[in-house]
Amino acid sequence: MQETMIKISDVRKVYKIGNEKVVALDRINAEIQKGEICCIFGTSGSGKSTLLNQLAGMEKPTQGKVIINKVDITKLQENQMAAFRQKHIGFIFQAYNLLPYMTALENTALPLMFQGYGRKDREARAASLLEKVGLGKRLHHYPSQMSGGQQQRVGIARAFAVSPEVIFADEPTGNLDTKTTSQIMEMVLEIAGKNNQTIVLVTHDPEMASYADRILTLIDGNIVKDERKESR
Amino acid sequence: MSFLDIMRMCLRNLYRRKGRTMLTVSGVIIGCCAIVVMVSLGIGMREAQNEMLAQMGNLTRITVSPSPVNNAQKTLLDKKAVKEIQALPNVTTVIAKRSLDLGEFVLTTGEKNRFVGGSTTIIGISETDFEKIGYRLLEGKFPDKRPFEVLSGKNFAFEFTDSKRPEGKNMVDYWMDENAKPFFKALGAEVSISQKKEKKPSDNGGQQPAAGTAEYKEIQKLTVAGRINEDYDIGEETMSGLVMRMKDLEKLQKQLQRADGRKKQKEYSQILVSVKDMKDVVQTEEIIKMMGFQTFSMESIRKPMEKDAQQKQLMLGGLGAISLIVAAIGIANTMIMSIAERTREIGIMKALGCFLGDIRKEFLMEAATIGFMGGTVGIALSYGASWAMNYFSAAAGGGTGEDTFGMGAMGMVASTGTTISIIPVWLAVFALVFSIFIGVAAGYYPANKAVKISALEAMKA
Repeated sequence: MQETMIKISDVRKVYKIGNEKVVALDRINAEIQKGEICCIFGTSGSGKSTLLNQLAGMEKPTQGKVIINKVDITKLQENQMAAFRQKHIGFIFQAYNLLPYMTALENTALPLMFQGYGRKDREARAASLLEKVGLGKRLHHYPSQMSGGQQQRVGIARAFAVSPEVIFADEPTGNLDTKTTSQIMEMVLEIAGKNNQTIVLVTHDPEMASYADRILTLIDGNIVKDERKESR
Repeated sequence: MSFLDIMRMCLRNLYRRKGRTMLTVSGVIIGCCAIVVMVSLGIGMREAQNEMLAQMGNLTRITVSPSPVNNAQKTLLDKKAVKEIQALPNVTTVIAKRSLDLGEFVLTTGEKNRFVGGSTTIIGISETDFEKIGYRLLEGKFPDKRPFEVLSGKNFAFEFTDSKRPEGKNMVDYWMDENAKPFFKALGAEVSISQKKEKKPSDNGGQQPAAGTAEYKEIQKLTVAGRINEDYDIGEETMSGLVMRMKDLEKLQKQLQRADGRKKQKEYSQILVSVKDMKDVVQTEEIIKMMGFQTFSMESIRKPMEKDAQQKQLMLGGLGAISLIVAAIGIANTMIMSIAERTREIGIMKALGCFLGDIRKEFLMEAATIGFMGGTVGIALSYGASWAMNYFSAAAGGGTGEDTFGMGAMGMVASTGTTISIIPVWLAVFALVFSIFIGVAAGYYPANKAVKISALEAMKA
């Protein structure tokens, strides 16, 4: 029995640059199931990043709806959106986006801190997550003391900290070498698979796309191909 | 986010940019110091003024004198007036004084009227008022049953000239020499009110009467029963005059009337009115003025002085406030810089679901903390500066604060004391609260700017 996690209906995004209108997303319709590893694939300028921004509620689409976990996030106020993100969404960024003045442990615990968890509770959870991604010995290291791969592992631990239903990953290995890339991706898929979490992966790299169950290919703001892998 | 977490984050961010934080804080320190020190000087000034006034006179007393007009409608300062004033609200005591005009009579004492007095003030008050009015005995006692016992002012005896000494050496100068001794002892002295007998000019060739040659006809003998300390606030009689019972004075008046045919004196020369509290003075004084009398109270001096002091204080405080406002601009500037640098961080926090309110609170708290630190250090420095100012002014002022014998009561010292700067607790608390407030106010615009940063900032590679 499949359950729809993300429903994208008639999403259109038009930017105004000067007097010209640029259509970044034309008319996007798609449904992503719970537990699916979905890749949004496209070259730069295809609109894939714009689509991610709409899905994650970073911007509001010009038209259309994005429904995540039965909530229409295009209708949420900014603070409601923040609360929604706290509970349901995790992020893995290309540039890791760790706060430089915080240790691995504190960075991982950050989303929990926003939710108001006490220091002990959130750091216990963060420590166990960091253990899982293999950084058990680096809890108190600062980002500047870690390699790119290690930083991204902290990023992954942080994304899973609140046990979100959906994780958005924006070129998560864009800055990493091939070996590290495969390690990182295995790790993400493993953790997500255990908890039946949905992953939306945005990339321009066919290699990366191969990790996904489903690939939505975007060209000029339209989905031109929707492929499913039979077996995973 | 819990309050503790916001605070932790705030301190961490301030610590991250120690240099900049310290510079901004030093701006607030200077501003806070400026305000506190300026206002403390103002307070010190006011305090010194009040002290000086209190030294000059009783702040709850109103002195009433007869109206200067001289016509039929004039209200007389007589028994009826005293009763009316006594009946006014808030009036506690009323003491009436009658003064004796010596006219052509003189005071003499000693063997063969050797010592001759000057224009002495002679006052009569009710015998029950001797203590109430505030006379303080230096020696002797208050007059009792015996008629024509009197009190002498502190320096009464110095006013007499010795008719057996040559001009220029016939008086004791007690102004310059505090250990001076008069020609005779006032206590116990018998003083006569005498009429000088006219001598024919031919006897002396029109010259001043030669020593010891004048002749006097005694009208009344007075005995000095006690000597009282001088008190400018009560009246001149305490310095070099005489005080006697009202009924004695009235008798004397009649005797003099018979001798020189003067008019009967209906009015009291002065009434001393005491009120319950300093703040009752203005109203009571106003009513008495309306009755048609002349009045005087310290309030008429204190009011304009206080107003003046208040204005000066406001001006000083304003000067201090300017520097704190400059510091506030510094805070705002620092915060804006900091936010510009942290745009990405703020974007990340938003993307991870940080509430807008928490971001705003964090920045406001940073600004408030800068204000708080500046305020705390500023107040500490102000206390130091205040102490130093007082210390050095005391060292420079030396003995001026001391009440030298015979000078204090003249109000000549008007001692400003040695404290020129006073920081009361309320000022310290106010300065701290104001510094924090300035910080928050300065941080408001930057904090709102931070809140408006988009989560999309986090997505930029």
